[in-house]
Amino acid sequence: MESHNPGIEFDESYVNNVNLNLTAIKKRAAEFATRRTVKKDYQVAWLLRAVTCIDLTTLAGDDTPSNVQKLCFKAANPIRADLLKQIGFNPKELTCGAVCVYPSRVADAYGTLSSFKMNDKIPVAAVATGFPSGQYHLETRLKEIKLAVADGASEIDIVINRTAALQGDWKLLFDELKQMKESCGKAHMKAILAVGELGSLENVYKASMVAMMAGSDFIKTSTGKEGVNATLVNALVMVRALRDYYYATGYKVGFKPAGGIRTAKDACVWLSLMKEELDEEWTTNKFFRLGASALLGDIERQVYHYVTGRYAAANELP
Amino acid sequence: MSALNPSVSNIKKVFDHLSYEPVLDSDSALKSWIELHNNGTFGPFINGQYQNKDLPTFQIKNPFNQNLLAKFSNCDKTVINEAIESCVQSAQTWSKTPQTERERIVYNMARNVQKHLNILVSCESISSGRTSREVKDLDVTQVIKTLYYYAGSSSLLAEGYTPVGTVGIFGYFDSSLLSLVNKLAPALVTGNSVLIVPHKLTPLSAVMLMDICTQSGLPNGVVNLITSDNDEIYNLICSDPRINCVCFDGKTSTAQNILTTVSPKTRTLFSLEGKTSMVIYDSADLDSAVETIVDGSLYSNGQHRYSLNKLFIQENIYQKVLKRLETRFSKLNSGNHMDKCNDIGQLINQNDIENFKQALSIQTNEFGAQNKQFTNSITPPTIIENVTLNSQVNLNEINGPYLMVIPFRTVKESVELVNNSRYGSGVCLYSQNISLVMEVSYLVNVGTVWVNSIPLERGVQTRKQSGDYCISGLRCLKMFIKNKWDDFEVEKRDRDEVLRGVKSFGSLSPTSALPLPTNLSEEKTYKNYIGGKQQRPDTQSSRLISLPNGEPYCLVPDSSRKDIRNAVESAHSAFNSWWKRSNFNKSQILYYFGENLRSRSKQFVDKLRLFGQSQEEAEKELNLCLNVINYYAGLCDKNIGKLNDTTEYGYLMEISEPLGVIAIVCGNYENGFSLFNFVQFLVGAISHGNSVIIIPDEKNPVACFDLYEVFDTSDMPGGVVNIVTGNKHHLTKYLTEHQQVASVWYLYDQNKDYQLGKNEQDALQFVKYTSSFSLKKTWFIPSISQLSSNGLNREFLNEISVNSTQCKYVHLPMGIIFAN
Repeated sequence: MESHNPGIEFDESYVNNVNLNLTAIKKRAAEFATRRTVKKDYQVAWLLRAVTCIDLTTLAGDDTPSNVQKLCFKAANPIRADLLKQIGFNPKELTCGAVCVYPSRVADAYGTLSSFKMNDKIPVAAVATGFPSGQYHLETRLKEIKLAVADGASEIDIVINRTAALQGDWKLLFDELKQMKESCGKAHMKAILAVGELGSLENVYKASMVAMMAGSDFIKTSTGKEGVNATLVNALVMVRALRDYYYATGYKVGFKPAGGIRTAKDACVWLSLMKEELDEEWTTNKFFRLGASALLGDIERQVYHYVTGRYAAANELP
Repeated sequence: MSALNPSVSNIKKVFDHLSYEPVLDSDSALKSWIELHNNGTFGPFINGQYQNKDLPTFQIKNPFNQNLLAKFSNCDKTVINEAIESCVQSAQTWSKTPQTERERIVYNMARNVQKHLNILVSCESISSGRTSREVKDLDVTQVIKTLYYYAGSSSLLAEGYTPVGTVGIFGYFDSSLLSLVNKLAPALVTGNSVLIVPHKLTPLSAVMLMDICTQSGLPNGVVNLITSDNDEIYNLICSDPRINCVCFDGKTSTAQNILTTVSPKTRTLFSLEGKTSMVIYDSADLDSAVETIVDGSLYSNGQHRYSLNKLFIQENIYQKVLKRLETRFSKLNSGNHMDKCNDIGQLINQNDIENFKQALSIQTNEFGAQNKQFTNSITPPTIIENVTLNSQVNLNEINGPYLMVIPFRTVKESVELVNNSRYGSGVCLYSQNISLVMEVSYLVNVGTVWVNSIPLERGVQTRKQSGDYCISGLRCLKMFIKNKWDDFEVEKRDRDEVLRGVKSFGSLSPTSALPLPTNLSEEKTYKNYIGGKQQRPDTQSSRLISLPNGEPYCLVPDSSRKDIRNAVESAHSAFNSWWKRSNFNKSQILYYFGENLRSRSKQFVDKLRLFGQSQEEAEKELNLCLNVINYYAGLCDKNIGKLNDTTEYGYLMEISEPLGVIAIVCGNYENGFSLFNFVQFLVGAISHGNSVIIIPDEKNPVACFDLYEVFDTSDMPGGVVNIVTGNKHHLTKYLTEHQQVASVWYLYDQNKDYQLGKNEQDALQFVKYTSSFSLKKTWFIPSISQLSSNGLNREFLNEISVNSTQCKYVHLPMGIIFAN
């Protein structure tokens, strides 16, 4: 995959004079659910679009080859085929955006996807660089990236150095990210800002800008392990940073909220946020991913309800 | 499995290009409710019943598709009379109903609005052309909060107050339900009966409100409602002396008309035009500012009194903001207001649509402005650049979703731009710089400041030609309580009599110094005191002041129009520096004034004795003067404002501010106390930061004149106090006619049995009528001394404070912490 953001030289003016008003941002964030809404067939269409944007994720200490294998099967067949057929979709054409695993499980995931020839359709994303805390030596953090890429990962979800961010050392952060980007090679770099640990919305904005200047293909809200993860409030700050960077450079960078996105309704609101604050291209999986695990199940239940007119029992959607 | 759904073919299309479809709110419940009411024909609601009177009707339509919604009666004089009579009757029992019971009923109303929220939203939305989302999120939610607030207001009120009586509430189409409830709730809870007159374009939600009143157990007749599409109804109701208080929301010109119609006794509360402006500084969160512009300029489709229509942008971020603004506006949806995905609905008033189009085309064609329009609405959101400040769009209030964009350079310039308006409702300030925001909040001459937030119909105070209504808190409740100094009787006059009286009022009486008196016992030259200097009157005429025994005593200026003009100019220029002085400094000057007066006690006591008081009386009066000076000197740094509750996370500051230039016309004190009364009103007004032109007792101004010397030795800045003597009515005429005067306090003289003579009735009528031109405040006070048995009357002094100040609300949301 070609990177869509080559990055630019470090420019301090991007992190100076940042003014953000939390109250006003909260208010706008709350409006995405009320100002626009989709129902019935429109809702189903939006939900299926959301499915294609899901980075289906398992990031647990007890991950093994078998549950990673199941994850890959689900990513390739996210919605029951009979339901999709009834609404005119070819089940083979609807897959999740990626699977997302720990570096040591990349080989399992890549192997599984290869076994049913989906390895070129569904990318394997690996978290890396000392996920989730990032409190490791730069040398090993960079090494992790290279090993994951070697195992078949084509997207690397790196975590940024929060210490540098909190100390306002944006140049250091930039330099580290530059090296990470280099280590990624052809793989896409998705920079996890861990917004819940950045202390202020201004820092969220500044970290977004620095990550983009350093060439990130996506900026991602959180690891899912912080106290505060993907909320519409911090998302709005990041999305507006995407827009500012695009105005300034002409490069579009993708956005990936992760952590706490569970309901089908949420998925529509997130898509609406991208469409309203940015544009339609920014709602495709080239520029938008949802880091989630439970979300897919809820979307499938909604599709079931649309097709059959009844709510599904738990055992009908394995 | 079920059969293939016909809409599935659409799914693939939407999947490829994420699009929206109309999601319409259901109006079926509303339709059956309308049907239930006499097949959609609403008569007047009098004494708890809809009257079926066979009156002519007018229609209201859904502004989106022009479908007929309902018909309403065109009430005539007889019906209006019946409704007012019902109010008057029910007020007698309702005012005696215990406050707890009244509060319980208002509480029930809040509960019932919550229970019927959906139908109320669709009722208000469908008939007003406003999006249902906005009506629900902003209006009906606020209706509920308002009702709950006043349902628990007894703690704010002292026991034993008297309600004003019968209150007429006129609604407006920009937020018909909320604007009615904002007055209805405080009026009811304080024991008034109410006559509701919804705007002819949006009467539907008002009728539903009647159903909610009935359901909540409000006794019959406490609220009555009449409808009419004839604008004469304002005159018919307002000129009726049985209506004790008129609450009017709407156009400033209508309010001015009302002021020329009402009896001087009728209290008026106005919430008028004066759209909000917004200032964006380079320290602002620009994207959030842009969102506020969207919400503010589209509030009630841009037809609300407080919607945003003017945007001042600091020059160094002008292009940045404009680019964001245009991008954001290009995302707006317009169309059916019942569609949840639409941001803008329809203007309800056909005239407004025409005016909107016309004003914009004049702006472009004649003034060379540039318009950018968005959406395919017939009144599309419009951004106007290169605005000429004296063009029609800026000077007149046009309804519709437009935004004039004007750059500025410095903070000081932004304050001037905001203040350069005859209206004074509100301003939004966008900046993250707290010092900047606080100082600008202090300097802008508007009633409400919205810091980093959106103008809405809550926590609002207006001033200047935007009216004087206060939405929130104790100030609002007090508007519906009778003031014990309000009680005077005036005879009802018809329109012609009023006009004749106004026309002939105050024409100069022949100067009373002729024939030239001889043997004056005081040869000192008394002059007017203007701008800190003694000045001869422009008329070059004098009037004779005689002692009580008829002996000629001295000559004082017989002043006229130009002296008043000079005095007002001097007061106006002194005002700005006077109110900005620290309160401590003001109090120091007043204490010093008291000190210097005390040291001249003998001189003043002697002067008072000369005019007929005993030594004891004169000493008592002087002592009262000294006490009242100390009282207000001490109050200077205490009566500065408070915090109010707000549902926002943050503060709602209520700042007490002076009015500006106050004109005080003293009465005649035959039994003494003319010096004390002069001093208490004067010092009360200036202690709150006002500057004053005061006309002393026309028969006994001498002791007051002697105060110059005391001012001069007390560091009192020139122009804060201006003293002009002459004919009471003649000077009143020119004071009231001066647009710069913010308030006129008129002390009326009564005869022995406390009745007002015809002359004084003329004066009150004139002042009320003439106040309409600049919407100045008026305060009519009986000229008997307000004292308690042990001296100063605290309650009355407090009333002077209330009349010396206006409040400014500053909405100050806070928040920075969102995570660790």
